Amino acid sequence: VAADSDCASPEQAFELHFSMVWRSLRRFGVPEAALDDAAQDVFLVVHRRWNDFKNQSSRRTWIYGIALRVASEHSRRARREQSRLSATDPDLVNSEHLSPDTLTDQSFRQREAGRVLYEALGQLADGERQILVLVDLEERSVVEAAEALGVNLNTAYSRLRRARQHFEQALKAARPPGSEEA
Amino acid sequence: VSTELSSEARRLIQAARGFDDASGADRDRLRERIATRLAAGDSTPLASEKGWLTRTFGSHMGSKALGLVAATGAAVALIASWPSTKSLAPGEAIVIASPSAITSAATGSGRSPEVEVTPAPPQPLVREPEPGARAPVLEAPSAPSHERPALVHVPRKAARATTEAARADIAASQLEQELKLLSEARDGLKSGNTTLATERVQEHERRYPAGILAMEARALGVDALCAAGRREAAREAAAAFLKRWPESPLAARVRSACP
Repeated sequence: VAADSDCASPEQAFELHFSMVWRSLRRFGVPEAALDDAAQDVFLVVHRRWNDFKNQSSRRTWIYGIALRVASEHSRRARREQSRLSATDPDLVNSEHLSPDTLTDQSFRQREAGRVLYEALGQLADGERQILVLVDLEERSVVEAAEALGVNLNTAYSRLRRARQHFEQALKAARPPGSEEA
Repeated sequence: VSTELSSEARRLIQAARGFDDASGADRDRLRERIATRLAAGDSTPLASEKGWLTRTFGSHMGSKALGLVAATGAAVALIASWPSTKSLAPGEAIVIASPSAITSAATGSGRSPEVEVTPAPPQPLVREPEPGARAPVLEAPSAPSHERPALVHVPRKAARATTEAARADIAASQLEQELKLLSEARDGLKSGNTTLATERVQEHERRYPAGILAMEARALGVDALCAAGRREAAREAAAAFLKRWPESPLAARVRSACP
């Protein structure tokens, strides 16, 4: 990827990959309240370890790997603080925020789809959730996802297959009755 | 068992696209937070760094200081802490890191510059380019595409490592040059040589329109113009600065530089 190979400094990495990191952290299960801290941690690690990058993968994959570990750490912390962590952002399921009266049809549909998506993701085990996010939401190759996760390719494929099965099941449960389209 | 997602699931993912994207405010807020931590030289290990970093990235933990950005942070901190002309006492000494010391830290070849670094207010990590500005001079030169490839085999990893090293050198070199220009401009301002100060700031603007220290250079430019008695030009420069960096920690200083 040309943009990735142009990532020549931590500052450029921030500008280039901030959106990806932000979005992925949420999808990996970092609660909304911890998102700022988690994103900050990712890029502090990126800065501090910039010269430790081994060229065994792309910078983007390396940053995904950091984001995954930071997300795991923040999710663990959140679980310790709460008896049970709901991966779904409470704001997203607040009916006031989803009122069609205050939103355009398009933004309402987007938010509703987002709510269902997060609710389904929240039903997956961490490992399954991570590979599904990387491959099906972030549209990375399974090879790249395996590198970021630090697992071999066979493990990645079998985990992805399970993740998709469980995601489909969770999706059915998360959809409002009678809903066909997001 | 199908290994693909159903079309329904794909439609849902597509419909939710953009739903959880970061806003510009998110980006700006995080940029500032990270810069603050770096400028303050905070090297407290993060919980996320413990253990797995050693396994993942090798054993030389913390061996290369903070790399280019930390050096940049230190440099920015120094410049940001410069007082404005009106607060300079006669003969007041201003400590500034030597470019070689900064470069040394940037390339990881030595320890951090041995100067006192005043913790700085939040700084942007990267300056946004001005409209029409040319790209930052950070790219390694590349061969024209029509040239035939060399017959010498270069291992891919070695080539990548060389490119990374070359980029780091170029970035460090740019920082060194920017620091030198700003240091000379500041010296000119201190000694009353406002022509020299203005020239050095203008040279910085011409060579590095979106440079690492662009914000500090423009702030210094306002000081230089004001000291030269070009108050109208100073006010215009201040207005341009505030328009470009309204949230800058230097904004208050720039605003009051030339009343």
